This record gives sequence, C-alpha cells and structure tokens, in this order.
Amino acid sequence: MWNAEARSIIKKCGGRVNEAAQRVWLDPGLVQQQISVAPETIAMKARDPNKNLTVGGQNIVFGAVGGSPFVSDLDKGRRYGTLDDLRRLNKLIHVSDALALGGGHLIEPVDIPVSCRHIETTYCDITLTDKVPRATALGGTVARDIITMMALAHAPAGATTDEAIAALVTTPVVMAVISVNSPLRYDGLMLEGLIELANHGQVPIITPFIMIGAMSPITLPAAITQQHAEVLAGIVLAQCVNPGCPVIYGGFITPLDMQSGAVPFGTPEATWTLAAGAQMARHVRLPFRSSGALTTSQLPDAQAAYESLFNLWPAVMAHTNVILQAAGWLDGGLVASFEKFILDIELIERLFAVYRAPRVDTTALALDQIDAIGPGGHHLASDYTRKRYRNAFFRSTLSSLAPYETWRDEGGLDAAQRANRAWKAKLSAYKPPPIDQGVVEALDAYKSRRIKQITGAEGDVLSSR
Amino acid sequence: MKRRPRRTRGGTAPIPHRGILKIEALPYAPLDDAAVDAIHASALEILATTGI
Repeated sequence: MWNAEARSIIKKCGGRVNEAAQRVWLDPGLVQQQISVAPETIAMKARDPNKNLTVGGQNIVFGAVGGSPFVSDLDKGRRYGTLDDLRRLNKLIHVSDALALGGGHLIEPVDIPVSCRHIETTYCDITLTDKVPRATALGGTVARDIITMMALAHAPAGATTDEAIAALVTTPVVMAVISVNSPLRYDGLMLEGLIELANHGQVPIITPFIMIGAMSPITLPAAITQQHAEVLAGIVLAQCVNPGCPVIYGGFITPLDMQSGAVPFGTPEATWTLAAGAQMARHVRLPFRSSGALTTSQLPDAQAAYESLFNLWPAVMAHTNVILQAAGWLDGGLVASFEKFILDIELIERLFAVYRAPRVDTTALALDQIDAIGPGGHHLASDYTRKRYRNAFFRSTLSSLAPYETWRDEGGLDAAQRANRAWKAKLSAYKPPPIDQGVVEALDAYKSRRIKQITGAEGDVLSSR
Repeated sequence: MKRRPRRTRGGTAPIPHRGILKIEALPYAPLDDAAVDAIHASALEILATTGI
C-alpha cells in the first residue's frame, strides 16, 4: 500500500507493516472481523428523491461509460472529448430512464486543465442530472472537492458548508471507483481517495483491473482469488477508517490476447470471471460491481453489439448490483460513442423487459381463450387480445421492422445511423432538472474559487453553464 | 378525471423512476460451494503471507 497514512491505519487496526517495502499483511481474523461490519445494502440519496437507490440485494442499476479520452459520433468521427461533449453525455443520461446512475468522469474533457476536471465533471453531475453520480476519486484533494460539492448540493436549509459535509457522513450521495494496481498494489492517490470517501461515509467501489496472464497468473481461478484478496484488503482499510462505512466489491477481469498483447472485451473468460466475482461478493455479503457493455470494436457495429451483449447480459444473470460502463463504451474504453450509447440503452431496455416476469395465474394462462379459438383459428380479433395488445410486448424504438422496400425508401439506415438520429432527438427533448438557485450560487462560488486556487485562472473562463 | 402530470420548477415533468432492475431469478453462479470456500481461504492466505 503506497501511502503512509493507509499503512498507519492498517497498523493501528492490527495489521503488520513493513514501511520500507510499503507492504502490509492482514491476518485472517482481522480480515473476517473487518469485512463483517460492512453493510450488505446501501441506501443512496439522489437530488431527486424519486431517484434514490438501494444498492445491493436483488437490485441492479446501470451507469454509463467512464473515463474515455475520446468521443465519437457519425458526424464528426473520433476526436478528443471536450466539456461540451461531457455536458451532452450528461443530458443523455438524464433523459435515459434505463440508467439509474448519473454522470461522473464520463470522458476526459481535454479543453479543461487536468487539475480541475473533477470540479467541472462534478458540477455537470449535479446541475445536468439529478441521479446518484459515480465519480473518480483520484487523490484526497479530488475526493474532498467532490464531497464538498455534493454536500453543497444536498445541504440542509441554513447549513454551513462544514455542517453540510458533516451531514453526509450518514448519507451516501456519491460512489467512486478506487482502482487497484494489480497485482497486489494500491497506489497512493487511490488510497487517499479511499480514505477520504470512507471518512465521509461515501461509497468506494473497490475494483482491481486484472488482465489475466499479465497482472495475475494465467488461470481463471487464480485471477479470481487475487481479485478477492485485493478487494478484501481495500475493504479492511475502509472499515478501519470508518467502521460500518458503505463499500462496493468491484470486479473487472479480462484475458490478455497472448498473441498480440491486445485486451479483448466481451469474452467467454470475462463472462466466467464476472459471475464468479459476483459469487465471491455474495460470499462476503457485499454489493457487487462489474462492467457492462464492453467491446474492443472501433465502431458501433456488429462486433460492438455481440461483445457488449456477451458482457451485459451475464452481468445481469450474475446479479451484479452496479453495472458500470453499460452505455457508450467503445474501442476498449478509449472512446465514448454517442451512437453506441443509444444501442446499449436499447440492450438495457430489453433486459428490463426480460426480467419483468409475467404473473402466471388463471387469467394469464388463458385456457378459455385457447379452448374458444380451438385448432386452426387465430387470436388477433379476440377481446382478450384487443384489451392487451398495446402493452403486451416490448417495442423497440431503434430496430427497423419495416418491409425492405419501405426501409430502403426511408433512407436505408442501419442501426448506427438510426442511433445517430435517436441521440439527437433525445438531446433536443432534454430539460434540465429543477435545482434550487441557492445551490447553484453556492456551487458557482465554490467552483470559481477552487479553479482559481488550482490553476490561477478566473473561474468564468471555464464556466459550465 | 385523469390527473395531469405534476409540473416542477424548470418546466419538466418528472421522469418515471424505472432504472432499478429488481431481479427474482436465481443468479448464474459457476462456482460450487467448495470452490467458493477455497478461493476465499486462498485470498486470506495471500493477505497473510504475501501481503499487499
């Protein structure tokens, strides 16, 4: 653990530490005791109370792409992401009911200095959506800024900033990925972020990223075992910081292509490790996070679709509680694609329909209808059908069901081209969520002050509104 | 008489909260109990002997 404060905390908690090696050892009793106090489910508060979440148990929530340096669309192609792209993705998230999670560090807005991107992304999270955001806590300073801004957004009436921050300790409002630098290493900035989140009762998603064969032994059981050890170590640290604080068990394992060195996604091995990881999280009674619509494809094409579905549906089947990267991921995560976002939302909507299990009762069995129509008849004109047909089946807003000639005459658009039209229509329908003007003023003041402190620039140079 | 959708400040109607998938089916779980126990015990051994 490459952080002296983390090692000190572990030592006080009963772990063994070698400062020179920056390494800690945790005995089984200590691990078992600490993981036993972490909560099995987490009640998270959104700006809109209708969008509060219970994370864990039988609940599954989806979040969008995160951390991509590039964006792409069919109009302008692949390019570096900007603040304007970040805003547009946040708006798409807001109008996409399939995504319960809000924005976060969706992309790298390269027109904003690295040192204050977290300020801008958090500002977008809060003002452009009203869902629970997923942030990136890369360091203590970043985590403190995010927590402070979230506190301002959720501040009780009349509370000072310090009082608002204190109130968050028992009210989780933001989750953030804490990455493990596998094998078996936590970097300093991630540990700072983890400690800060735990201290304030916010939710670290402790996630190793393991490329099997490079960052773990080449067998799947070894990768799962190493992932389990790495996650448990982070959970122990979080519980030593703040006993009983919420944490999410994260898993992200993928094979390495041993012939080329490339990292393939949506593979059978990743499916197996995802499900096994979910089992290990259930074994220690913690919510589980995985990733969703992953693909290595450079385009929103057939490869993108089959690889994404090969990861997304197994994630649901494994009862992953938090499925990140579930909309927009392209090209191994390097690209956030606007068209892929729409294609992935279509997949998630279909999964909602799959798991909307029908009630099996006398009415649904419809034996009287089967008897009345009898052999060789049809059910199209029956009252039973007419009463139910409008909402009986999932209806895609993206798929083409038209006859060939009609489809051809309407432009002959493929799925990606239809998705291009769809994201533009969604954006044009966007209406900002209501927000108290006092909150906006407090956020504006904080943003302006912090950006000036960090970069020396005037805040309005980087205005998000 | 049908109620009109509630309007909120900013002029938007609330978006239906539909993003939580509540799942009743059993999970796909490739590990048997012995494998789960072995993996957990091995992870504890790593943390106690190799360290992190």
